[in-house]
Amino acid sequence: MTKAASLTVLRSGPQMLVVDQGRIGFQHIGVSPGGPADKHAFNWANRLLANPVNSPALEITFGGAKLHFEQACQIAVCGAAVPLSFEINKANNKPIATWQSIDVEAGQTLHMGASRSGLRAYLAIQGGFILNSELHSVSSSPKQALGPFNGRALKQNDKLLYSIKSAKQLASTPVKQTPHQFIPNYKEHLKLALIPGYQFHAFSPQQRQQILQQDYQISELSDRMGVRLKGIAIKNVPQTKESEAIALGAVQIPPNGLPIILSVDRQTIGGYPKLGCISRLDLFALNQRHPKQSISFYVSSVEEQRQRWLTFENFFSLVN
Amino acid sequence: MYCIDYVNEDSVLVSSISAPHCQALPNLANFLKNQLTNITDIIVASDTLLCIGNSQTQFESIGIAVQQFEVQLSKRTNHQVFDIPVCYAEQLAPDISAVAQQLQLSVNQVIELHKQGIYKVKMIGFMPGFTYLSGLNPQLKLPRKSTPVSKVPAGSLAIAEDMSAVYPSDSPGGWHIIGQSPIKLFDKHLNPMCPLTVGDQVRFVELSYKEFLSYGDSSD
Repeated sequence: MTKAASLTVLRSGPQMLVVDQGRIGFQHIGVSPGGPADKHAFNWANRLLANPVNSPALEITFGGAKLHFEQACQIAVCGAAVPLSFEINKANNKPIATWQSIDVEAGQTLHMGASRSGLRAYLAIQGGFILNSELHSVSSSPKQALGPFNGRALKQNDKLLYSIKSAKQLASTPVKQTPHQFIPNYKEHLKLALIPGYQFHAFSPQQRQQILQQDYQISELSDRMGVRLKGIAIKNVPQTKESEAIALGAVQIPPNGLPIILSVDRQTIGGYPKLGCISRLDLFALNQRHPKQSISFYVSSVEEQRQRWLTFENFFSLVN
Repeated sequence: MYCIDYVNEDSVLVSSISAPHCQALPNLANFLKNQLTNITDIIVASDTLLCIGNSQTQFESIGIAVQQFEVQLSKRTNHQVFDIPVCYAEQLAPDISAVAQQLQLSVNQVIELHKQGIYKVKMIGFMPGFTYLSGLNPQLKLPRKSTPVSKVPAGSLAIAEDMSAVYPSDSPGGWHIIGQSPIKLFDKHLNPMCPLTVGDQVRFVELSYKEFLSYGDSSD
């Protein structure tokens, strides 16, 4: 058996969760999949360390975390632009870049400042964290009480185990970087590909036009369950229909006329009318946007978005 | 007739228009699970089912399988009848007198009408193990509460619109609570985690308050 060292959470920031690819295959009994809100950055963090694609990582929202590493290891932080530095180096406090692998020495403490752009940073560790899975996943799900620590968000003094690498193993792992063209700019206006579906045709042409032509603002009430939008409300929303299954990225319009885009922790069924779903790659980008940032929709086809998704899956070798 | 629509990169929504097709959705879900590979989940609701696949799924094969199922629609698999013990005692039923009042019935009439019904598992979802049971007596029909309660205790027996349910865990809720069940409708440590599947029939069996308190004791 390989020996394990621990990572101690000295400060968790507003929300720190354990994530892997999510809890797949239990939606028929009401269990939401959860997992990373942004699989693009999550997959990059594991890829930089040559980890298996389902390796557990930390999802740190808004930054503001402090983590102590017992033993030497290699980590990578991708996603939100969070300032990083090691406490031990405070004299010559050199900032460390995100979107690259980082060598950590035994006993070092990593400081993560508040995010400047993007909401969620993913911290992966070479070899992954050692955790017991529940319903085939280690993803934290506070509402469902599933995952490590009974699903709750991590807090001060929580410890996560990782396997110790030998000095030789660590020396043989060169630092890798994400090529510049793959690093998104989370500050720019986001256009979401909408695949028309569900009750799209129950909305009048004027209502659809109004939704497609306006810029919406992201509401501060957004979370991993749903991203709420602010803008000019559409009037006379079609009647609520019989409840039905909610697919990832579904755009539902409640009676107040303002869209809610359903995300990774969504409820599995609901009754509000839906316009269709946004592409999941755009959903990941949306989950990195701060409240008050602007977004808009454009209509796209399922074939086109499926192609984009297949390219993504192939790139990260997510297909078994 | 079933209609098939793609809703996102890996999911297909199968909708049914006629009542027999709606009733056959649980059977269709089983048929698709057995017939197709690369399907990760199927969520059944009242008149639709969502078939979730992955990048290996051949979408055409879902359409072909649905057509095959339509041909042999008359073949039915039998679903089980499941008894759920419940107690309607006032201590456990915070809303039962208000419900009776609103419906101009006595509390006993509400209990009788509720436990006479044969219910059917219409769908499972919203939260782990939340089971929507259709077949509520029309005399008990009431809209959901206008303001949901922030914490409904696990096991609460509830009614709203034309449905009944038992809350599997503590949660906010807008349904009217008319009793409590000592059994769990979701337990991650059990196999299966949910005792009920879509299509099953359910009867409520009344427990006295004393029986409720000692439920599960092997000493009686």
